[in-house]
Amino acid sequence: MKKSQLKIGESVAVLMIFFVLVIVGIVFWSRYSQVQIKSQQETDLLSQAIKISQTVTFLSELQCSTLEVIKFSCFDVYKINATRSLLMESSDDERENRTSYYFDIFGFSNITVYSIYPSQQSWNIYDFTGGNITGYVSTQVPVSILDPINNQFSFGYVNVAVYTRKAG
Amino acid sequence: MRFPGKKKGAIEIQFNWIFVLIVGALILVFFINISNSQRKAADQKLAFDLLSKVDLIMSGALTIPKTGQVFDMPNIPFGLECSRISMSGVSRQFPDRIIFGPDQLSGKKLIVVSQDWTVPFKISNFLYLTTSGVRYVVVANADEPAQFQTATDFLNSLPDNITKEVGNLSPTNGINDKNNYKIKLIFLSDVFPLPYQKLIDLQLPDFIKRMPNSAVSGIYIDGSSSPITVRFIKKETDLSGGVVRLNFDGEPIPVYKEPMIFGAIFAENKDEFNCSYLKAFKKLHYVSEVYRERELSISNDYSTTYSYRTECKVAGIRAPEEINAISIAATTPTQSIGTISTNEGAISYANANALRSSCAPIY
Repeated sequence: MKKSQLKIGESVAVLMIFFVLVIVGIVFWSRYSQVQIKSQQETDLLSQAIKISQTVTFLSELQCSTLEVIKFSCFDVYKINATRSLLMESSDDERENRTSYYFDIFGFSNITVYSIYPSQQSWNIYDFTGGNITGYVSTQVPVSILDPINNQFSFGYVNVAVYTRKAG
Repeated sequence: MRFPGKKKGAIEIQFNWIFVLIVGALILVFFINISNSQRKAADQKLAFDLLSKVDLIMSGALTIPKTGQVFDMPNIPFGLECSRISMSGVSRQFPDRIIFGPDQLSGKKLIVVSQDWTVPFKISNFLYLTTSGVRYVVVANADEPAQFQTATDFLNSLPDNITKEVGNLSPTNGINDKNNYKIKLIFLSDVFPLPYQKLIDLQLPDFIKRMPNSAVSGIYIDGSSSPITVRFIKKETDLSGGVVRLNFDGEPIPVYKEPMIFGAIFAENKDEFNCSYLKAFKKLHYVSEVYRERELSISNDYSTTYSYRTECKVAGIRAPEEINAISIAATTPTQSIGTISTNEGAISYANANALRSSCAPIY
């Protein structure tokens, strides 16, 4: 066997081993990245739920107010009913535009207000699944619920559930 | 048989080196590609983190209206467009937020101001974004003390943290160059009336003439009209004579209340202002719908469940028709500001009556 041919064989063998190691490294790195991405997706979903619940808490359509003074973490029960009626029950010409407007704000989610004391009641004010649901992430924010006629407060919370959907 | 001067081994060694060079180059290219893609990913991650920080800042500002806050930022410019901020190919959408600001925010200090817009119930908070690098000049002549005082009073009504001043545009003794990347000129009708020809003929300081046209803009606020109107001004180069001048950009736009006037001051141009302007009136439409339904429910309950509360059933306590009129008017804002104003007055009056009678307030 000629010395040079042996040398080329050695070079090729070293390169093959090198590329095998690089490929193994890439495979491990991509598996690790996949786990990281999945974890990041879950964190993003939770962040989205928190963001929507913050938006809901400060929504002019729900907040209590006296003149221009806003009461924080307080919902007016008549506004809750009005919002629910407009978003979930109305069938007027504006319904599609209204749904589209609030979809831009709330996305694929379900927003329900619960009163737990002294009376128990719930109002589902928004729900848009869009089909292909695989699960949801939810967050709760405590609120007080005001009856403006009797000036009485109830204790409750708003539940925001953001849906996860199948791709495609 | 031997061939003197020709060795097979020597040729193969050379081939080996060529082979090593080619493979080495391929490996180098491979790793350079990986590092490039990692660098792009790092840039995008930085952009994502910064935009998240800006989002958080805006969320905080929205919860506390009538505040102006200054935040330190890395000196990396990001773009603003109606409901979207973007940086290095990454963007964030805010379909529910009404934001006014220049198209590019550049500088180490980000200034965020919020004001609530009420008609007469609270509709939304307006957010104004700017940086210390943007300069706001209320144009007035110091030789006319009364007008200068009016301009100064207006200047004092603007948020404290922004870079603002009163000055004139005289090329000889007007405002100086302070190395700002953007300048916004504010003309008030009762300080500096601005018919078209006067605007076209206005002499500009040299440094403003040298600035790119997109870096200079203006707003003409006409308080003498009812409703108040704003008209955007742009800097242009007259193609025929190469003359640099100011000119109106579009027709006057009627505005409603101070937060909208401020919005026009902070907005980059007419199109960006229009986008947020229409969003604001859209929000007014949907919030008014809720208040209308609320009014109808409360009126119904006072007629049935709480019929003993006779003081809450009299005329002038509830205002569902007026609220409905505002909701309808909000769909055509440029023609309906007067209608909104009239009905707002009626709603305020009814609300005061409701509060006086210890009935459920309208707002």
